[in-house]
Amino acid sequence: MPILEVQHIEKHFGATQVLTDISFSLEQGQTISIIGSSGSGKTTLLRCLNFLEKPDGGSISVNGSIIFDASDPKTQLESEIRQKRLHFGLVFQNFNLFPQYTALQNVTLARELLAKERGGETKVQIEEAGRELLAQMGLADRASHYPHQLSGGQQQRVAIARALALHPDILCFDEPTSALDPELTGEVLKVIRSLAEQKTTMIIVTHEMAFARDVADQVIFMDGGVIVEQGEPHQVIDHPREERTKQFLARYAEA
Amino acid sequence: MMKKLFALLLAAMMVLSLAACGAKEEPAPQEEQPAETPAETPAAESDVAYVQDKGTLVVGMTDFAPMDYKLEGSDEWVGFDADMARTFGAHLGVDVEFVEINWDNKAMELETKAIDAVWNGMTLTEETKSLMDCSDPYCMNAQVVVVAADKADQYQTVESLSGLNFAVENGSAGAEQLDILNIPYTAMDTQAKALMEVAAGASDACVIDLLMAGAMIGEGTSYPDLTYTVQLNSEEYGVGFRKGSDLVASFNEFWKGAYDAGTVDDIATTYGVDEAIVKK
Amino acid sequence: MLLTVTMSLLEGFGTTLKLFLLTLLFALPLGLIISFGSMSRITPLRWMTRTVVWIIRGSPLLLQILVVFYGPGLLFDLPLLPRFTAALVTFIINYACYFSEIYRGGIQSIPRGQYEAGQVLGMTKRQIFFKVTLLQVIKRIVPPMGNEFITLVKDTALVRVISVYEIIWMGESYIKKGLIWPLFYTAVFYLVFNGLLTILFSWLEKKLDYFK
Repeated sequence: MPILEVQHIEKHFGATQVLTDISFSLEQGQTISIIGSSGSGKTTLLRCLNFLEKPDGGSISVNGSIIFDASDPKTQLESEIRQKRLHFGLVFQNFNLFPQYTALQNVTLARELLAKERGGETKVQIEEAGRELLAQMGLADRASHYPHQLSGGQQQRVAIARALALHPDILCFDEPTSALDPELTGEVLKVIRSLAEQKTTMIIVTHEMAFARDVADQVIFMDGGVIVEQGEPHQVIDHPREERTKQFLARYAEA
Repeated sequence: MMKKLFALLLAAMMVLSLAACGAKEEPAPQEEQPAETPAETPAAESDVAYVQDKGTLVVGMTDFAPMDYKLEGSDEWVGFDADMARTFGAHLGVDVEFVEINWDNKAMELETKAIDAVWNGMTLTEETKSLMDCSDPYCMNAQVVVVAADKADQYQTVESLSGLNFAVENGSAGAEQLDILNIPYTAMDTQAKALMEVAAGASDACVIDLLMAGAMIGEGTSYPDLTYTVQLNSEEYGVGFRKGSDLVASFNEFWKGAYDAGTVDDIATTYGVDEAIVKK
Repeated sequence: MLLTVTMSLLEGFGTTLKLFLLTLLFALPLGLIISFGSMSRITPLRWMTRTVVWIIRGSPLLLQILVVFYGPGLLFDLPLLPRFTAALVTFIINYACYFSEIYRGGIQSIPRGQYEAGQVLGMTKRQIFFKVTLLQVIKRIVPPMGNEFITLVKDTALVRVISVYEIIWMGESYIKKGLIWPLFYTAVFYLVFNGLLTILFSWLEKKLDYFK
């Protein structure tokens, strides 16, 4: 059974159709890369999965149970959305770290708030886990730095640790290196690669073709709000069948 | 400028209140009367009863020696008007509360019942009589021109005054006199500020009440270097009440009694204004 | 003489301070409520709030004081509020409107990403407001608030129009006794107090300087 099953998702903003009949599934421990030009709907799709946008049609299931169905209002209760969001983690293009908290506090804040509500872990345990996550990101010595004291690459790694702290079933990345200087993308991609090696379930929207091919088990090419082609990386990226995919990849090869 | 603003606000509010309450003070000559008459209009109620009911007569005044002022280190208002007001309060069987008001707002203060009387050496002019119902005159006064003592001999006639920079209290009887003479002036919010203008040299002259000039300028006073020259008119002081108030009649009757009993003269002598008292 | 004048001016300044502190006590929270109204998704509420804010901010405070004090009596023959209360009510409404615009500016300047980051981390709206955005909003509104506080101190002088005996009134009353300097001496009280406020606000700004 796939851990995530997305079926027939539709989304429009006013008269503009941004997602049309999006369906795909993802197995536990696998990674999907979503590629496509700007405005193709990749980011909107991620935002739909994280309940930052509400799809106009279709359904989303996690571990076999439906968490969203556009035709069933009972799956859209405001009170349950918060809980459902925790199936997913999201790493933003612009990091969106909380500026008034240290790196460690950014990682532990949400987990502490949850523990306060539900009991369970102590503050000390959460902090210990937070430090481990930062160490895993290669930031053990930056725990007490504030975001503005960190480089872009370091900030994005803190953001990844922050998302991992809540143990999401599926971790989503929205162009995680687009806001970084070229020399800083490597450190972030390296971290994501190691997460893939540890069989973290991930959906990565990216413009880094080489990275998408290396890290992903499956690649989805989107254009104009529809999935044009999906399959294994060497098939979609090295031997695309669709004309639109070929054109897109050709533009990348030139650049 | 300020005066116009206040007048405008007052006018706007009056229009609104008249519109809202159905022309309660207009005689309503040609149109037919509204079917329902207001249950109670302020004029129909007894103001005396209203004051006695709440047990306090609120007197609106300003700091104005020798009528209303405080002695050094004391918090109590004294002066001819203050003492007479307390006597009137005793006559009505109520306490007297003094409130220092902004003189520009006196009509609004009365109309809104923030105060019950304006009693502060108020000159009876056409304007004050149109804004409130006034008592019979109780004290004589005049408007006099104040200049620096060392220049006094140049300004002994009305003709010599043109060309001087005048300061005068906004809307006061002095301002009215200057208007009649067509002399421009700078409006101040109190007579005391007008005096200060002359003392500071900001204005050449001001017009204030004779009673005040007698108490406040000349040798042995706060402004030894000032003196008064031309007397522009003679006028009378009265006490202002709300329009239609029966306090006016009550006051006139009280005053007559107090005058006959010698109380008025006693208190006037204390404050050096006995010469100015209107003979009854 | 200096001592007597100082004591009497201090008494007036007590009224000034009381008006200042009570205005802040009520206007700061009321302003927040008004700012929520002016950002509301309910269109009629939003427009109503913004219209009220426009009227209050667009008309002279002096007129508002006169209307609140004399208005009930002139328009409806109602009993008046006590003078100080009328002045206080006017100031609370007036300053709440100014504060609401500062809050609105502060809240709207927080990037959407901050709210979204909180949301995807499973925080409630309340948690996001108190744990994520509030301190950032405070950091942004401290400088304009400092200006408003100082303006408020000086605006209290307007209430003498309805005979609330604040410090300028007390200073002016000496003019009638032939003393001019007490009026100008009142400036010392304003300067000292506003100096303290300035120090307090620059200390606050420094305190919040640890993040950007």
